[in-house]
Amino acid sequence: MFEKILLVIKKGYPYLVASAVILLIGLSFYSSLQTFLATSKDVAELKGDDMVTAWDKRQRKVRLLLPDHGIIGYLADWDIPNYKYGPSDQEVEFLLAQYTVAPLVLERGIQHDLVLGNFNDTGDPQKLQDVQNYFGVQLIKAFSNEIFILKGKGK
Amino acid sequence: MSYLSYLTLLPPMLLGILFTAWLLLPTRKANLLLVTSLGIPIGFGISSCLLFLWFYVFNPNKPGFFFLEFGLIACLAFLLWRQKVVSFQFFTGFLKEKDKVQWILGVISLTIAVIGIATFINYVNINPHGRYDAWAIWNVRARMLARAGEQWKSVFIPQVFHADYPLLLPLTIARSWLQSGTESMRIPSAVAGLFTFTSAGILTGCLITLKRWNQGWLAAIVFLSTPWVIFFGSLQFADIPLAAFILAASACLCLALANVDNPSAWLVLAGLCAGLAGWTKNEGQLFLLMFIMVASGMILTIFHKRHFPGKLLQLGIGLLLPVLVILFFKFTLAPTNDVVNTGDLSPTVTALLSPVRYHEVINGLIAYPKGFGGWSVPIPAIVLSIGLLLWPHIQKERIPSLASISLLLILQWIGYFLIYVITPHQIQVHINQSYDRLLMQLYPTFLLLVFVAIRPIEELFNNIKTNSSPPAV
Repeated sequence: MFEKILLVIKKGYPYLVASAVILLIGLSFYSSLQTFLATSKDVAELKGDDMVTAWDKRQRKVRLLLPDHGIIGYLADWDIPNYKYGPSDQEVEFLLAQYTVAPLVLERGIQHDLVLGNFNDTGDPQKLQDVQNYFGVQLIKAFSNEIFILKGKGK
Repeated sequence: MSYLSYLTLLPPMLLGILFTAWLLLPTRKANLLLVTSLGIPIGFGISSCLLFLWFYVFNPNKPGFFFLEFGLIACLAFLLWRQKVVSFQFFTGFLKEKDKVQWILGVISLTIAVIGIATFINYVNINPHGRYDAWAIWNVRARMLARAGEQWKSVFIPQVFHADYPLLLPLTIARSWLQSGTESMRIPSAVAGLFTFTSAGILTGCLITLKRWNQGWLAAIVFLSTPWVIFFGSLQFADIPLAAFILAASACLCLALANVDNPSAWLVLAGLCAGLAGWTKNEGQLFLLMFIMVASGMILTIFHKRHFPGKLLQLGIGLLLPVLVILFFKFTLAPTNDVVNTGDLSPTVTALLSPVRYHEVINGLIAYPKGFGGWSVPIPAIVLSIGLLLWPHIQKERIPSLASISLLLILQWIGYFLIYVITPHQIQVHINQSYDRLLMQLYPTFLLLVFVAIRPIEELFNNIKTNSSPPAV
């Protein structure tokens, strides 16, 4: 009896593996197709540029106003005392600004002749003046409502 | 011009394919898929090393690098032409020796690869610049190198985010931009795609070289249907390129140890791929150290005393170019790393000697929330079942290959664990931000290990055929 069971298992073993392989192939195919369909839906719902392209398009002309290489300062909402900001948004914008102005290097702070200012437009007309007064920097050129080229305090 | 910029990727690809073919064709062991899939990442690697030296000796504005590449391609084409008989057998041999099951599995894996490519293109359309690390580290460095001209060294300063990271990817992208004269965003995604899909080719090609056709195609099916593979590939991070080089080095070492009569070409390629892993990402330098230890140990164990200096030399020849470039970069340009400060190792040593840190890392890994793979169906359970069903047969001649891949995976994982122990960042945050990518770096090599280890499926299919055939009269 025991030998018969063993024989059945032995005979059935290749079929068991073959079934598992077929199941694996079927599920893999399904998984691939499902991912494709999900991403196709996301693509169909795309409206306008992605975040990086939009930022790059908006800001790339500021590069023309800045030196070709070297280091300049970078000042943003996260440097203003007691100002509410999203820390991850600030870091992302800093890195996006670096991505746009490369190979020019951005260093946080005002200890350079030129400083790139990136301040969220809150509609407060006094905000930029307050920044200038507080940090002792001077506006050279407003590139947009949010991006400014400032004279820093040089090293 | 945007689509034409793809053409600028052809010279390094051709260079790598011809170089790999020149080394492997005389062994009469390689196949078309393996040579092409190994050749493309190797070509990008060699080209980026040479471009780095070109930048150093001349500068990015100095024209002529194209002629250097073209000269190398012409030399390799001539050398290959002299092996034309072998080349012919190589191309025709790939189409022979297949039965119906192999063809069916081949067609299915090709179909899944096509669906994978379509999914990859969808992801690229959603994020053409890649995700965070892509534009914060890799593509921004490519922009710096392509735009800075004679001032290219000025960007390797501590103020730049991760300026110590190696340059294989940024230089590969910058090279194409410089040659095409435009910063086409098609290039970074194309490079990312090539690394993603050649990984599947290396996996399958290696298993086919080991005469495991069905396992090879199955491995490709599992790898390419893993949602995270296509997703991470499309992000334009360096993790999938690093995974490709870790897999390539492991596969070539595995094949060297499986062909002890003629391992030279495999050893040179294994050394080269391990070196290029170090030129791709800092974790690759950890792999490079582990690889040198494991490969040297295996060579000392397997080969006769008389032969092992020669074998070590072959490994060293492969390592030479990338290791020289890495050392040159690290000692002359790269600023300090954020995890290991080589100028002051006392915090690192203190962390390594603190049992509390180990406990925190273990807790951090247990609390790691993301899992792995992104499957919505239980594919890992099926792979595990097949693995268990086919496990009992490890051929004696495969033991060194299996041992080397296992050791590389285990040591590399221990290395990752120790990075978390010494990290100056908050441990749980560091784990949550990086552990998925670290696992992805090892995933294709893990699949290679599984599919080399299990019993050849061909044997079972043959059993089924024998059982179902009518009895002899």
